[in-house]
Amino acid sequence: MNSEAKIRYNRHLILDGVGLAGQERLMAARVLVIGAGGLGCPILSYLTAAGVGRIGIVDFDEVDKSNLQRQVLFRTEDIGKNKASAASKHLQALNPLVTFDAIEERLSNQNALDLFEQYDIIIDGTDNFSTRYLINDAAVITFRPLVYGSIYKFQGQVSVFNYKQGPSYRCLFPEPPKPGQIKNCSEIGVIGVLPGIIGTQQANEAIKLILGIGEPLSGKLLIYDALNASSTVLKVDRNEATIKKVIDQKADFLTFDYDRFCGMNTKIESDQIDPQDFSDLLNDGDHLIVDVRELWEVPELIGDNVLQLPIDELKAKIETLQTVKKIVLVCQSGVRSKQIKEFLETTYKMNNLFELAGGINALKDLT
Amino acid sequence: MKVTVRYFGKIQEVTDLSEEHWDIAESLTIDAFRAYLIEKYPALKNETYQLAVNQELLDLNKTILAMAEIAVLPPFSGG
Repeated sequence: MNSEAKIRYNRHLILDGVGLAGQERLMAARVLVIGAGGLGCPILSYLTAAGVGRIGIVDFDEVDKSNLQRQVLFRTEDIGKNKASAASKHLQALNPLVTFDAIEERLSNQNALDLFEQYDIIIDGTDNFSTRYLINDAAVITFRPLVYGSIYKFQGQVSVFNYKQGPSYRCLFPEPPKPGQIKNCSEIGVIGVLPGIIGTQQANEAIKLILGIGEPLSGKLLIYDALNASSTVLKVDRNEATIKKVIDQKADFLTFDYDRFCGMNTKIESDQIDPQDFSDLLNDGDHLIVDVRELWEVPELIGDNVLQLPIDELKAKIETLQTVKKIVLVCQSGVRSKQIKEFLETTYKMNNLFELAGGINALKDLT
Repeated sequence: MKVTVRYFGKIQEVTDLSEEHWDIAESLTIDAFRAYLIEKYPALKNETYQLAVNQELLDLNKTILAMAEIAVLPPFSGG
Protein backbone atom coordinates (compact mmCIF):
# COMPACT_ATOMS: atom_id res chain seq x y z
CA MET A 1 0.00 0.00 0.00
CA ASN A 2 1.49 3.35 -0.98
CA SER A 3 1.73 6.35 1.34
CA GLU A 4 -1.22 8.19 -0.28
CA ALA A 5 -3.45 5.15 0.44
CA LYS A 6 -2.09 4.87 3.98
CA ILE A 7 -3.12 8.45 4.71
CA ARG A 8 -6.49 8.14 2.99
CA TYR A 9 -7.46 4.94 4.78
CA ASN A 10 -5.85 5.83 8.13
CA ARG A 11 -9.08 5.45 10.15
CA HIS A 12 -9.49 1.92 8.79
CA LEU A 13 -5.83 1.06 9.32
CA ILE A 14 -5.96 1.97 13.01
CA LEU A 15 -9.32 0.22 13.57
CA ASP A 16 -9.43 -3.22 15.22
CA GLY A 17 -11.03 -5.67 12.79
CA VAL A 18 -9.86 -3.83 9.65
CA GLY A 19 -6.20 -2.83 9.82
CA LEU A 20 -3.75 -3.16 6.95
CA ALA A 21 -4.88 -6.68 6.02
CA GLY A 22 -8.54 -5.63 5.99
CA GLN A 23 -7.88 -2.56 3.87
CA GLU A 24 -5.98 -4.70 1.39
CA ARG A 25 -8.99 -7.01 1.18
CA LEU A 26 -11.23 -4.01 0.44
CA MET A 27 -8.82 -2.81 -2.24
CA ALA A 28 -8.80 -6.24 -3.87
CA ALA A 29 -12.62 -6.59 -3.81
CA ARG A 30 -14.88 -6.26 -6.86
CA VAL A 31 -18.47 -5.21 -6.22
CA LEU A 32 -21.34 -4.82 -8.70
CA VAL A 33 -24.06 -2.32 -7.76
CA ILE A 34 -27.26 -2.58 -9.78
CA GLY A 35 -29.22 0.66 -9.81
CA ALA A 36 -27.65 4.05 -9.09
CA GLY A 37 -30.82 5.47 -7.54
CA GLY A 38 -32.03 6.07 -3.99
CA LEU A 39 -30.30 2.97 -2.60
CA GLY A 40 -27.42 3.01 -5.07
CA CYS A 41 -26.20 6.52 -4.18
CA PRO A 42 -25.33 5.80 -0.51
CA ILE A 43 -24.10 2.27 -1.35
CA LEU A 44 -21.73 3.65 -4.00
CA SER A 45 -20.57 6.60 -1.89
CA TYR A 46 -19.53 4.46 1.08
CA LEU A 47 -17.96 1.66 -0.95
CA THR A 48 -15.94 4.25 -2.88
CA ALA A 49 -14.84 6.10 0.24
CA ALA A 50 -13.90 2.77 1.86
CA GLY A 51 -11.60 2.01 -1.07
CA VAL A 52 -13.26 -1.04 -2.64
CA GLY A 53 -10.92 -1.82 -5.56
CA ARG A 54 -13.33 -2.18 -8.45
CA ILE A 55 -16.96 -1.04 -8.55
CA GLY A 56 -19.36 -1.80 -11.41
CA ILE A 57 -22.43 0.45 -11.71
CA VAL A 58 -25.36 -0.78 -13.81
CA ASP A 59 -28.04 1.79 -14.71
CA PHE A 60 -29.69 2.51 -18.04
CA ASP A 61 -31.69 5.45 -16.68
CA GLU A 62 -31.07 9.19 -16.78
CA VAL A 63 -31.04 11.62 -13.87
CA ASP A 64 -34.41 13.31 -13.48
CA LYS A 65 -35.09 16.45 -11.42
CA SER A 66 -37.41 14.46 -9.13
CA ASN A 67 -34.50 12.09 -8.27
CA LEU A 68 -32.54 14.85 -6.51
CA GLN A 69 -34.80 14.74 -3.42
CA ARG A 70 -32.96 11.56 -2.33
CA GLN A 71 -30.31 10.50 -4.88
CA VAL A 72 -27.57 12.51 -3.20
CA LEU A 73 -24.72 11.68 -5.59
CA PHE A 74 -26.21 13.83 -8.34
CA ARG A 75 -26.14 17.59 -8.91
CA THR A 76 -28.73 19.71 -10.63
CA GLU A 77 -26.49 19.94 -13.72
CA ASP A 78 -26.58 16.11 -14.03
CA ILE A 79 -30.25 16.16 -15.10
CA GLY A 80 -30.57 14.25 -18.36
CA LYS A 81 -27.24 12.42 -17.99
CA ASN A 82 -26.95 8.65 -17.65
CA LYS A 83 -26.86 7.70 -13.95
CA ALA A 84 -24.09 5.10 -14.18
CA SER A 85 -21.65 7.51 -15.84
CA ALA A 86 -22.69 10.60 -13.85
CA ALA A 87 -22.27 8.58 -10.62
CA SER A 88 -18.86 7.22 -11.61
CA LYS A 89 -17.63 10.74 -12.47
CA HIS A 90 -18.53 12.07 -9.00
CA LEU A 91 -17.24 8.93 -7.27
CA GLN A 92 -13.93 9.08 -9.13
CA ALA A 93 -13.46 12.61 -7.78
CA LEU A 94 -14.12 11.27 -4.28
CA ASN A 95 -11.56 8.47 -4.59
CA PRO A 96 -9.12 8.27 -7.54
CA LEU A 97 -7.77 4.93 -6.23
CA VAL A 98 -10.98 3.09 -7.19
CA THR A 99 -11.65 1.68 -10.68
CA PHE A 100 -15.21 2.16 -11.97
CA ASP A 101 -17.09 0.32 -14.69
CA ALA A 102 -20.07 2.46 -15.75
CA ILE A 103 -22.48 0.08 -17.46
CA GLU A 104 -25.15 2.14 -19.22
CA GLU A 105 -27.42 -0.81 -19.86
CA ARG A 106 -30.56 -2.37 -18.52
CA LEU A 107 -29.70 -5.56 -16.62
CA SER A 108 -31.21 -8.46 -18.55
CA ASN A 109 -30.92 -12.22 -18.69
CA GLN A 110 -28.60 -11.69 -21.67
CA ASN A 111 -25.92 -9.71 -19.80
CA ALA A 112 -26.45 -10.71 -16.15
CA LEU A 113 -24.42 -13.95 -15.89
CA ASP A 114 -21.35 -12.57 -17.69
CA LEU A 115 -21.46 -9.41 -15.59
CA PHE A 116 -21.93 -11.19 -12.25
CA GLU A 117 -18.96 -13.45 -12.94
CA GLN A 118 -16.66 -10.42 -13.11
CA TYR A 119 -17.44 -9.39 -9.51
CA ASP A 120 -17.29 -10.94 -6.03
CA ILE A 121 -20.40 -9.40 -4.49
CA ILE A 122 -23.67 -8.20 -6.05
CA ILE A 123 -25.75 -5.41 -4.51
CA ASP A 124 -29.41 -4.94 -5.45
CA GLY A 125 -30.47 -1.29 -5.53
CA THR A 126 -33.23 -1.68 -8.12
CA ASP A 127 -36.84 -0.54 -7.94
CA ASN A 128 -38.95 -3.35 -9.43
CA PHE A 129 -39.78 -7.00 -8.79
CA SER A 130 -38.90 -8.22 -12.27
CA THR A 131 -35.24 -7.14 -11.92
CA ARG A 132 -35.09 -8.29 -8.29
CA TYR A 133 -36.03 -11.88 -9.26
CA LEU A 134 -33.63 -11.75 -12.20
CA ILE A 135 -30.79 -10.58 -9.91
CA ASN A 136 -31.57 -13.28 -7.36
CA ASP A 137 -31.56 -16.07 -9.94
CA ALA A 138 -28.37 -14.84 -11.63
CA ALA A 139 -26.68 -14.60 -8.20
CA VAL A 140 -27.80 -18.16 -7.35
CA ILE A 141 -26.55 -19.50 -10.69
CA THR A 142 -23.16 -17.73 -10.47
CA PHE A 143 -22.79 -18.44 -6.70
CA ARG A 144 -22.41 -14.77 -5.83
CA PRO A 145 -23.52 -13.36 -2.47
CA LEU A 146 -26.30 -10.79 -2.90
CA VAL A 147 -26.82 -7.81 -0.63
CA TYR A 148 -30.52 -6.98 -0.89
CA GLY A 149 -32.34 -3.79 0.07
CA SER A 150 -35.77 -2.41 -0.75
CA ILE A 151 -38.07 0.32 0.51
CA TYR A 152 -41.75 1.13 0.86
CA LYS A 153 -42.84 4.59 1.97
CA PHE A 154 -41.29 4.82 5.49
CA GLN A 155 -40.04 1.22 5.80
CA GLY A 156 -37.10 -0.72 4.42
CA GLN A 157 -35.89 -4.32 4.20
CA VAL A 158 -32.24 -5.47 4.18
CA SER A 159 -30.76 -8.96 3.90
CA VAL A 160 -27.81 -10.94 2.56
CA PHE A 161 -28.77 -13.78 0.22
CA ASN A 162 -26.85 -16.70 -1.35
CA TYR A 163 -24.10 -16.37 1.23
CA LYS A 164 -22.49 -19.68 2.12
CA GLN A 165 -25.41 -22.02 2.93
CA GLY A 166 -27.90 -19.18 3.48
CA PRO A 167 -31.30 -18.60 1.84
CA SER A 168 -32.04 -16.75 -1.40
CA TYR A 169 -34.64 -14.06 -2.10
CA ARG A 170 -36.99 -16.74 -3.47
CA CYS A 171 -36.78 -18.60 -0.13
CA LEU A 172 -38.30 -15.47 1.42
CA PHE A 173 -40.77 -14.55 -1.34
CA PRO A 174 -41.20 -17.50 -3.75
CA GLU A 175 -43.69 -15.68 -5.96
CA PRO A 176 -43.89 -12.01 -6.95
CA PRO A 177 -47.01 -10.04 -6.04
CA LYS A 178 -49.56 -9.36 -8.74
CA PRO A 179 -48.77 -6.39 -11.01
CA GLY A 180 -49.70 -3.04 -9.53
CA GLN A 181 -50.26 -4.55 -6.08
CA ILE A 182 -47.12 -3.09 -4.47
CA LYS A 183 -46.46 0.36 -5.81
CA ASN A 184 -42.97 1.83 -6.12
CA CYS A 185 -41.55 5.21 -5.06
CA SER A 186 -42.45 6.95 -8.31
CA GLU A 187 -46.12 6.08 -7.75
CA ILE A 188 -46.58 6.59 -3.99
CA GLY A 189 -43.57 8.62 -2.92
CA VAL A 190 -40.83 7.89 -0.40
CA ILE A 191 -39.27 9.84 2.44
CA GLY A 192 -35.90 10.94 1.02
CA VAL A 193 -33.71 9.87 3.93
CA LEU A 194 -35.04 6.27 3.99
CA PRO A 195 -33.04 4.94 1.01
CA GLY A 196 -30.06 6.70 2.62
CA ILE A 197 -30.49 4.58 5.76
CA ILE A 198 -31.24 1.31 3.94
CA GLY A 199 -28.51 1.82 1.32
CA THR A 200 -25.97 2.57 4.04
CA GLN A 201 -26.94 -0.68 5.78
CA GLN A 202 -26.38 -2.51 2.48
CA ALA A 203 -22.91 -0.92 2.12
CA ASN A 204 -22.14 -2.01 5.68
CA GLU A 205 -23.20 -5.62 4.94
CA ALA A 206 -21.03 -5.68 1.79
CA ILE A 207 -18.01 -4.36 3.70
CA LYS A 208 -18.56 -6.97 6.46
CA LEU A 209 -18.63 -9.73 3.81
CA ILE A 210 -15.38 -8.45 2.28
CA LEU A 211 -13.63 -8.15 5.64
CA GLY A 212 -15.13 -11.34 7.08
CA ILE A 213 -16.07 -9.58 10.30
CA GLY A 214 -19.23 -9.49 12.41
CA GLU A 215 -22.38 -11.41 11.61
CA PRO A 216 -23.76 -10.86 8.13
CA LEU A 217 -27.55 -10.54 7.74
CA SER A 218 -27.63 -13.96 6.10
CA GLY A 219 -30.70 -15.99 7.08
CA LYS A 220 -32.15 -12.83 8.56
CA LEU A 221 -34.32 -10.06 7.19
CA LEU A 222 -34.01 -6.68 8.83
CA ILE A 223 -37.06 -4.42 8.62
CA TYR A 224 -36.54 -0.79 9.54
CA ASP A 225 -39.38 1.64 10.26
CA ALA A 226 -38.31 5.27 9.93
CA LEU A 227 -41.46 6.61 11.64
CA ASN A 228 -40.72 5.04 15.01
CA ALA A 229 -37.00 4.32 14.43
CA SER A 230 -37.58 0.64 15.20
CA SER A 231 -35.90 -2.42 13.70
CA THR A 232 -37.30 -5.94 13.52
CA VAL A 233 -35.15 -8.92 12.54
CA LEU A 234 -36.94 -12.01 11.19
CA LYS A 235 -35.26 -15.38 10.70
CA VAL A 236 -35.42 -16.69 7.11
CA ASP A 237 -34.78 -20.36 6.32
CA ARG A 238 -33.04 -21.71 3.25
CA ASN A 239 -35.40 -23.68 1.03
CA GLU A 240 -33.22 -26.29 -0.64
CA ALA A 241 -35.85 -27.21 -3.26
CA THR A 242 -36.31 -23.57 -4.29
CA ILE A 243 -32.58 -23.02 -4.76
CA LYS A 244 -32.11 -26.34 -6.56
CA LYS A 245 -34.89 -25.41 -8.98
CA VAL A 246 -33.16 -22.14 -9.93
CA ILE A 247 -29.84 -23.94 -10.48
CA ASP A 248 -31.48 -26.80 -12.42
CA GLN A 249 -33.21 -24.31 -14.71
CA LYS A 250 -29.95 -22.51 -15.46
CA ALA A 251 -30.28 -23.46 -19.14
CA ASP A 252 -33.65 -21.67 -19.29
CA PHE A 253 -32.36 -18.52 -17.60
CA LEU A 254 -31.47 -16.84 -20.88
CA THR A 255 -35.00 -17.15 -22.23
CA PHE A 256 -37.03 -16.80 -19.02
CA ASP A 257 -39.38 -13.82 -19.24
CA TYR A 258 -39.07 -12.07 -15.85
CA ASP A 259 -41.44 -9.28 -16.83
CA ARG A 260 -44.09 -11.84 -17.62
CA PHE A 261 -43.34 -13.79 -14.42
CA CYS A 262 -44.03 -10.57 -12.51
CA GLY A 263 -47.21 -10.01 -14.50
CA MET A 264 -45.92 -7.10 -16.53
CA ASN A 265 -46.59 -6.67 -20.26
CA THR A 266 -49.91 -8.43 -19.81
CA LYS A 267 -53.22 -6.92 -20.78
CA ILE A 268 -53.77 -5.23 -17.45
CA GLU A 269 -50.76 -3.14 -16.56
CA SER A 270 -52.44 -0.18 -14.97
CA ASP A 271 -55.82 0.08 -13.34
CA GLN A 272 -57.16 1.81 -16.48
CA ILE A 273 -58.40 -0.62 -19.11
CA ASP A 274 -57.92 0.57 -22.66
CA PRO A 275 -61.19 0.27 -24.64
CA GLN A 276 -59.26 -1.67 -27.32
CA ASP A 277 -58.42 -4.41 -24.79
CA PHE A 278 -61.86 -4.59 -23.22
CA SER A 279 -63.33 -7.18 -25.60
CA ASP A 280 -60.66 -9.67 -24.44
CA LEU A 281 -61.92 -9.33 -20.88
CA LEU A 282 -65.58 -9.90 -21.72
CA ASN A 283 -66.45 -13.57 -20.98
CA ASP A 284 -63.00 -14.04 -19.41
CA GLY A 285 -63.41 -15.99 -16.15
CA ASP A 286 -60.45 -14.25 -14.50
CA HIS A 287 -62.32 -10.96 -14.37
CA LEU A 288 -65.66 -9.84 -13.05
CA ILE A 289 -67.09 -6.94 -14.99
CA VAL A 290 -69.33 -4.77 -12.86
CA ASP A 291 -71.64 -2.44 -14.77
CA VAL A 292 -72.42 0.36 -12.30
CA ARG A 293 -74.98 2.11 -14.53
CA GLU A 294 -78.66 2.25 -13.62
CA LEU A 295 -80.67 -0.63 -15.05
CA TRP A 296 -82.40 1.53 -17.67
CA GLU A 297 -79.23 2.78 -19.30
CA VAL A 298 -78.39 1.58 -22.81
CA PRO A 299 -76.73 -0.08 -24.65
CA GLU A 300 -76.83 -3.10 -22.40
CA LEU A 301 -73.48 -4.76 -21.76
CA ILE A 302 -73.72 -8.49 -22.43
CA GLY A 303 -71.26 -11.15 -21.26
CA ASP A 304 -70.98 -14.25 -19.03
CA ASN A 305 -68.96 -12.33 -16.47
CA VAL A 306 -71.00 -9.09 -16.45
CA LEU A 307 -72.88 -8.15 -13.30
CA GLN A 308 -75.24 -5.17 -13.22
CA LEU A 309 -74.78 -3.44 -9.88
CA PRO A 310 -75.89 0.19 -9.62
CA ILE A 311 -74.16 1.91 -6.70
CA ASP A 312 -76.79 1.12 -4.02
CA GLU A 313 -76.87 -2.58 -4.85
CA LEU A 314 -73.11 -2.63 -5.09
CA LYS A 315 -72.75 -1.33 -1.53
CA ALA A 316 -74.74 -4.31 -0.26
CA LYS A 317 -72.35 -6.74 -1.92
CA ILE A 318 -69.02 -5.28 -0.75
CA GLU A 319 -67.93 -8.34 1.22
CA THR A 320 -68.32 -10.64 -1.77
CA LEU A 321 -66.64 -8.17 -4.11
CA GLN A 322 -63.63 -7.80 -1.80
CA THR A 323 -62.69 -11.44 -2.37
CA VAL A 324 -62.98 -11.42 -6.16
CA LYS A 325 -59.62 -11.49 -7.95
CA LYS A 326 -60.09 -8.69 -10.48
CA ILE A 327 -63.06 -6.40 -10.94
CA VAL A 328 -63.48 -4.11 -13.94
CA LEU A 329 -65.86 -1.24 -13.23
CA VAL A 330 -67.79 0.08 -16.22
CA CYS A 331 -70.16 3.03 -16.63
CA GLN A 332 -71.41 5.19 -19.52
CA SER A 333 -68.56 7.69 -19.85
CA GLY A 334 -65.93 6.62 -17.31
CA VAL A 335 -66.79 9.31 -14.74
CA ARG A 336 -68.93 7.27 -12.33
CA SER A 337 -66.68 4.21 -12.50
CA LYS A 338 -63.73 6.40 -11.51
CA GLN A 339 -65.62 7.92 -8.57
CA ILE A 340 -66.88 4.55 -7.38
CA LYS A 341 -63.41 3.03 -7.69
CA GLU A 342 -61.93 5.79 -5.55
CA PHE A 343 -64.74 5.44 -3.04
CA LEU A 344 -64.32 1.66 -2.73
CA GLU A 345 -60.54 1.92 -2.46
CA THR A 346 -60.68 4.56 0.25
CA THR A 347 -63.63 3.31 2.27
CA TYR A 348 -63.29 -0.46 1.92
CA LYS A 349 -59.54 -0.72 1.17
CA MET A 350 -60.35 -2.63 -2.00
CA ASN A 351 -57.30 -3.50 -4.07
CA ASN A 352 -58.72 -5.50 -6.96
CA LEU A 353 -60.35 -2.73 -8.98
CA PHE A 354 -59.86 -1.67 -12.57
CA GLU A 355 -61.94 0.67 -14.69
CA LEU A 356 -62.82 0.90 -18.34
CA ALA A 357 -61.37 4.22 -19.50
CA GLY A 358 -64.03 6.32 -21.22
CA GLY A 359 -66.80 3.85 -20.39
CA ILE A 360 -69.30 2.32 -22.82
CA ASN A 361 -69.10 5.45 -24.98
CA ALA A 362 -65.44 4.70 -25.74
CA LEU A 363 -66.42 1.19 -26.90
CA LYS A 364 -68.98 2.65 -29.29
CA ASP A 365 -66.32 4.92 -30.79
CA LEU A 366 -64.28 1.85 -31.74
CA THR A 367 -66.90 0.42 -34.11
CA MET B 1 -55.09 -17.14 24.24
CA LYS B 2 -53.58 -13.77 23.52
CA VAL B 3 -51.31 -13.01 20.57
CA THR B 4 -49.82 -9.86 19.05
CA VAL B 5 -50.20 -9.30 15.31
CA ARG B 6 -47.86 -6.83 13.57
CA TYR B 7 -48.42 -5.48 10.07
CA PHE B 8 -45.79 -4.10 7.69
CA GLY B 9 -45.68 -2.07 4.47
CA LYS B 10 -48.75 -2.17 2.27
CA ILE B 11 -50.58 -4.49 4.73
CA GLN B 12 -50.74 -1.61 7.23
CA GLU B 13 -52.83 0.29 4.70
CA VAL B 14 -55.38 -2.53 4.55
CA THR B 15 -55.61 -3.00 8.32
CA ASP B 16 -55.20 0.70 9.12
CA LEU B 17 -52.96 -0.12 12.07
CA SER B 18 -49.45 -1.40 12.67
CA GLU B 19 -50.14 -3.69 15.57
CA GLU B 20 -53.07 -5.28 17.42
CA HIS B 21 -53.75 -7.85 20.11
CA TRP B 22 -56.04 -10.77 19.42
CA ASP B 23 -57.70 -13.28 21.68
CA ILE B 24 -57.84 -16.49 19.61
CA ALA B 25 -58.35 -20.25 20.01
CA GLU B 26 -55.54 -22.32 21.56
CA SER B 27 -52.91 -23.97 19.32
CA LEU B 28 -53.97 -22.52 16.00
CA THR B 29 -51.97 -23.56 12.92
CA ILE B 30 -50.52 -20.96 10.55
CA ASP B 31 -53.10 -21.90 7.93
CA ALA B 32 -55.98 -21.48 10.36
CA PHE B 33 -54.54 -18.13 11.39
CA ARG B 34 -54.41 -17.07 7.73
CA ALA B 35 -58.11 -17.88 7.39
CA TYR B 36 -58.84 -15.83 10.51
CA LEU B 37 -56.89 -12.92 9.08
CA ILE B 38 -58.83 -12.95 5.80
CA GLU B 39 -62.12 -13.19 7.62
CA LYS B 40 -61.23 -10.03 9.52
CA TYR B 41 -59.68 -8.22 6.54
CA PRO B 42 -61.22 -9.63 3.31
CA ALA B 43 -59.04 -7.37 1.16
CA LEU B 44 -55.96 -9.33 2.33
CA LYS B 45 -57.10 -12.18 0.12
CA ASN B 46 -55.63 -10.31 -2.84
CA GLU B 47 -52.37 -9.36 -1.13
CA THR B 48 -49.02 -11.17 -1.17
CA TYR B 49 -47.39 -11.61 2.23
CA GLN B 50 -45.49 -14.00 4.46
CA LEU B 51 -46.20 -14.78 8.08
CA ALA B 52 -43.55 -14.96 10.77
CA VAL B 53 -44.23 -16.39 14.22
CA ASN B 54 -41.95 -15.19 16.98
CA GLN B 55 -39.60 -13.64 14.40
CA GLU B 56 -39.32 -16.86 12.37
CA LEU B 57 -40.55 -16.93 8.79
CA LEU B 58 -41.98 -19.80 6.81
CA ASP B 59 -42.94 -22.82 8.79
CA LEU B 60 -46.44 -23.70 7.73
CA ASN B 61 -46.92 -26.59 10.15
CA LYS B 62 -46.04 -24.48 13.09
CA THR B 63 -48.64 -24.07 15.80
CA ILE B 64 -49.16 -20.66 17.28
CA LEU B 65 -48.82 -20.60 21.05
CA ALA B 66 -50.04 -18.08 23.60
CA MET B 67 -48.22 -14.75 23.71
CA ALA B 68 -46.87 -15.32 20.20
CA GLU B 69 -45.95 -12.37 18.01
CA ILE B 70 -47.09 -12.81 14.42
CA ALA B 71 -45.68 -10.57 11.69
CA VAL B 72 -47.53 -10.06 8.41
CA LEU B 73 -44.87 -9.12 5.88
CA PRO B 74 -45.40 -8.08 2.24
CA PRO B 75 -42.53 -7.73 -0.25
CA PHE B 76 -41.22 -4.19 -0.95
CA SER B 77 -39.98 -3.18 -4.38
CA GLY B 78 -38.80 0.42 -4.10
CA GLY B 79 -35.21 1.54 -4.39
